[in-house]
Amino acid sequence: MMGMVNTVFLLNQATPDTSGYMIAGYIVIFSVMLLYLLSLFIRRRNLEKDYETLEEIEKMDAEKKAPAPPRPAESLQK
Amino acid sequence: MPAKSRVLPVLDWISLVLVLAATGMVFFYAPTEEVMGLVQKVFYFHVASAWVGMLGFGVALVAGIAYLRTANPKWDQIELAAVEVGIVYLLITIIVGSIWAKPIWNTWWTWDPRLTTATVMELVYAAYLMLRAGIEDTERRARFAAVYTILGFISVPLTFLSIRIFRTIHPVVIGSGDPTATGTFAMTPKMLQTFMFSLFVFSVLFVDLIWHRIRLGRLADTVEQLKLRLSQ
Repeated sequence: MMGMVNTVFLLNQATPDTSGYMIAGYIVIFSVMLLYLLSLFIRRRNLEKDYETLEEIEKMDAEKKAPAPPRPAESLQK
Repeated sequence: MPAKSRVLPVLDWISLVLVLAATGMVFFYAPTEEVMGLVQKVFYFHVASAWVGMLGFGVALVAGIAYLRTANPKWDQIELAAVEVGIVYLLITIIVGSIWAKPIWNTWWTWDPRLTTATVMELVYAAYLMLRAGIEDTERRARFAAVYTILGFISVPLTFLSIRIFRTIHPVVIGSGDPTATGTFAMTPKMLQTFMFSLFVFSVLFVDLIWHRIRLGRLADTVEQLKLRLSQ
């Protein structure tokens, strides 16, 4: 009788299987962290592309605005 | 374009190695808690994420005060970076806490003081991003955002102290708490070592992430200035 009581007691005290919740928890932790890293990476890549494009436009604008060098024939006449 | 840092890639690698080491400690070094089982192992990263979230909002508070004193835009960038990283880690804390609660409290969610104040804190800082998005003038936006972070920081000590001043079922692992709290456990030395190491690792990760976010902010400012110059 005493042995049966002990067994029931031990069964009641057994550690529950909560491994599924632990796995779900760690999937969330690493997924959110990876998503944030991905978001940082994509935003940086897009900004770098924008920067390069804008720099090219600025160079083209500067070339357009610069005064054209005098033609050789004109300089000889003078 | 802002110059590339030599230290940052090293910090990236250090952070990665530390996160892997902390994960290894959680799974292979820290013992399994007998009453809750394996789900207790989310505690290490749950608390470490909450720490990073609150640290982020603390840094944002300091940066907000510094901006109002100096009007230097670098403080505005630091403030934004800190809030963004804080929001991400607080979101992890809330979701993981809910997953832990299901087997322990038999519910995914309850309007307990800690859960409520943490959610309010997350929403307060999410509203910060909306506030920024709604103001075009950069100086005005930075000033308003700085004032907002100072006022919003009230939610941080309120959340931290909620389990110590209100009747709650949320466990207080460090220090005394409500004796009726469900899920409280005593930490063994190995658990404590894993916990402290996780806090350290997440602090390093915070520095790494905030550094990346500040660089991103600087690049965004440079692109914005270039756009303005071209439009004139």
